[in-house]
Amino acid sequence: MKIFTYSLIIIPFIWIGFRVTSAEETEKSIISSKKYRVTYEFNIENSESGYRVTSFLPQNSFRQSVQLQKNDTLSADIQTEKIRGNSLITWKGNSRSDTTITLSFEVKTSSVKYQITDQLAKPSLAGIHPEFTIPSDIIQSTSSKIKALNKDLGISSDSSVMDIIRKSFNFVLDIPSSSISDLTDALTCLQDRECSCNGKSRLLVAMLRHNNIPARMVGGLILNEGSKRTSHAWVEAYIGKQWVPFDALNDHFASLPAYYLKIYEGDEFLITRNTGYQFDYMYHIKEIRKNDYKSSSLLNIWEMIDSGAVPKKPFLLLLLLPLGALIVGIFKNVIGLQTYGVFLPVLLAFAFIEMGATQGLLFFTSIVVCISLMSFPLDKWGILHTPKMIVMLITVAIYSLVCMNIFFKTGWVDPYSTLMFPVIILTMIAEKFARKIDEDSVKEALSIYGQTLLVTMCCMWILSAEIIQHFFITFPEILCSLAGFGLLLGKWIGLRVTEYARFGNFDTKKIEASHVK
Amino acid sequence: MLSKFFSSRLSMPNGILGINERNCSLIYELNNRKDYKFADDKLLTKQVLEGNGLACPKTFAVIHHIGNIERTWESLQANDSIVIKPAMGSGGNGIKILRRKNNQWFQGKNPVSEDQIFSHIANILFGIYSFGDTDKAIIEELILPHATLTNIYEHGVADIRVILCNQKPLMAMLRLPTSESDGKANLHQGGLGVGIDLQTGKLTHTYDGKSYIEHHPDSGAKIRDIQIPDWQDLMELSVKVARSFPLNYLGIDIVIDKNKGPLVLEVNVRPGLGIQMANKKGLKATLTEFAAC
Repeated sequence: MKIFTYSLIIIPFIWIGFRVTSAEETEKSIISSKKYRVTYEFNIENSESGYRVTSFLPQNSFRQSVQLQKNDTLSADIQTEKIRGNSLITWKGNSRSDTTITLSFEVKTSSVKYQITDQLAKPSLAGIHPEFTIPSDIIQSTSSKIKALNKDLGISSDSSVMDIIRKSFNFVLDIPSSSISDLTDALTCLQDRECSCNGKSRLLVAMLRHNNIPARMVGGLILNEGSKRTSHAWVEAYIGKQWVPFDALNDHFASLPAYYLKIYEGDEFLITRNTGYQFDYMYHIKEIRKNDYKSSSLLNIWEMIDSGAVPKKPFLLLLLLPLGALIVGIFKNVIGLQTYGVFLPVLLAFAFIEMGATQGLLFFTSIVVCISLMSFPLDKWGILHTPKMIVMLITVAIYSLVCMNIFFKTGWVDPYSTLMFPVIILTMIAEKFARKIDEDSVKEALSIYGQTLLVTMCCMWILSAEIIQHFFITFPEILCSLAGFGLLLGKWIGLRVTEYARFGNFDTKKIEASHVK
Repeated sequence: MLSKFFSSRLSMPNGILGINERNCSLIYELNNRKDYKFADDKLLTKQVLEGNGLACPKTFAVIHHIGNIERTWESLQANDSIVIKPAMGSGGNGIKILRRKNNQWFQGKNPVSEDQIFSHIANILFGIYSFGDTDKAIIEELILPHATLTNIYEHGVADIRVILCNQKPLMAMLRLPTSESDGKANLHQGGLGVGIDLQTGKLTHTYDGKSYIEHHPDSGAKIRDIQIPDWQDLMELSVKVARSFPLNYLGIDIVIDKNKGPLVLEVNVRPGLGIQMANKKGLKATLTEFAAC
């Protein structure tokens, strides 16, 4: 049995080691910075009178590297030029038939975070192009309304740079966002108190320029896998002798996550074109993985995911459920915590990952409270067990629907995520909680509830780690090792940690004496 | 190697037996899974006990089907006190002690209607106390505890748990009800665990789940050194019971009726570990001492 257990644990690791070492050089490193393939796709119909489409190409910087792919556009005259630090690309042509223009490039991006201290001095305007400091038609930085706002926010002439930026940023961040597609200038955004990323960025630029901090709009794409039409705009401020990014829509203060691709600087449109023909466009974004260790894999899950035939989530559930179960097993048998249901914490963890920890916790707790309160009248009326469970199940279903509706209306939580909570398990857990109160005490019931949540949070923390998710998808053979660890755990007969507390109460010396004899 | 390291480093020092080791090395090792039913199903336990002529509380009736509840209840009306319990229950859950005064049934001080009693029996049959399996309800005589025990605390029924390994008694503990435990004697429900000297049958340390005490918290009676009545009979009974069951590691719960003496209440295949606290001694240390297993 021992040999079986240990070989179960060790063989997958040897196999994984073999796959890693036999992999080609480029496949190494499990997780590095992200790499994406981005494709612009433009569709032009009936352009007999001629079309002219201009867009931007992203450029290399310390946080992004771009590699242009061979473009395969038909019958187009392509021009590229550099204007004020931007790289423009223009397609020209005419065609009676439909034309599709595609442009692909691979980008490697990484996240960035700047530290801004309170002592940071006001930037010197020398050497800065005046266009980053003066007002424009849509960035009305000298307007009296901006001045009044400045005063309202408590910004004075001796406010520090950090203070100015922080207050302006927070003000713009709090403005509700909308998907207005009309051009929104800074003042309209201020007045409407609802605007798009462009409007918000213009307002933030105007507020910064008002305080003599050079600022500019920048634009690009948020790299989520899939296809979309929306580009994104954010702000860069010139402080500490460099351009520092701020996104007051998605709350990135002096930082950018790795999935932001900067494409152009200035208040521009990603696509400009002449008129007189039908035009459609799409940005396709695909993450490129160099770490799937295809060689000698027994089961290539990435292939299935990348083909789009099966979504990633069910795979993650299937692969990580065993890991979660092992974690719960360790908590129960080695630490000695008590939980409601054996694998409930794992299922809860998955639901929490989907919903967000705070939201999930509130939703789950409210259900448990609601059902426990219900069980008192049901018990008092002497409702038989199975019918009682039916009534509780219905209540949980109704409650979930109501919550979904609230989440849908408020946009606080993705309503779909509510469905990640298995209703039957919620009902059982709530019923167990109520029974524990009845048979034991509220204190004991809450204590086990707390322990359940503790284990859930641990599972959540481990299972949501991207490195673990990638590892399990890349090397599914690790499941055999988990089974081996499970067997090992099944033969582990040491005292549980909680038993030390339980039995540590009496005079151990005396016992040792009687034991030694 | 790994497991050796763990067992020597973590569990040996004070001879305490933990849940993992109890399950792995004693229960799984010494008992066959298919024999657990003789302990888990109290009806089977009673059949074995009665079949071997071992003393246990008299069974008035067993109810298997909902349809029989009312008819059976009619036949019980000659008795003034009864105990209703689920055959497959655990931890004392689902046990109802009923007494009749002036044609009204009471549970403790609370009056209970026939409807409530029927509903309780129906719940037992539906398996509410046995993890969803359908169950049987056992109705049996109520024990009248020996005066020695009622002198310590007059309410509820105290019982004596004896743990045996290979038919040898390892440890014994008196389980005393308190007002907090609501008449039940289970340790995790607020009852007291009192260690017993196996040779003499005298009470030793009293553990209330948190600390050691000398007096009963409700009656104030001093507990230490009280002599359990009929101790040698009780020990003999426990060994006879262990020999009648195909279980080699088990806990036997025995009550002392003031008229009938020691009676076997139930047999437990997973006896709790709190007995170590009451005796201030680890079960592993005892096992080595007795070389019992």
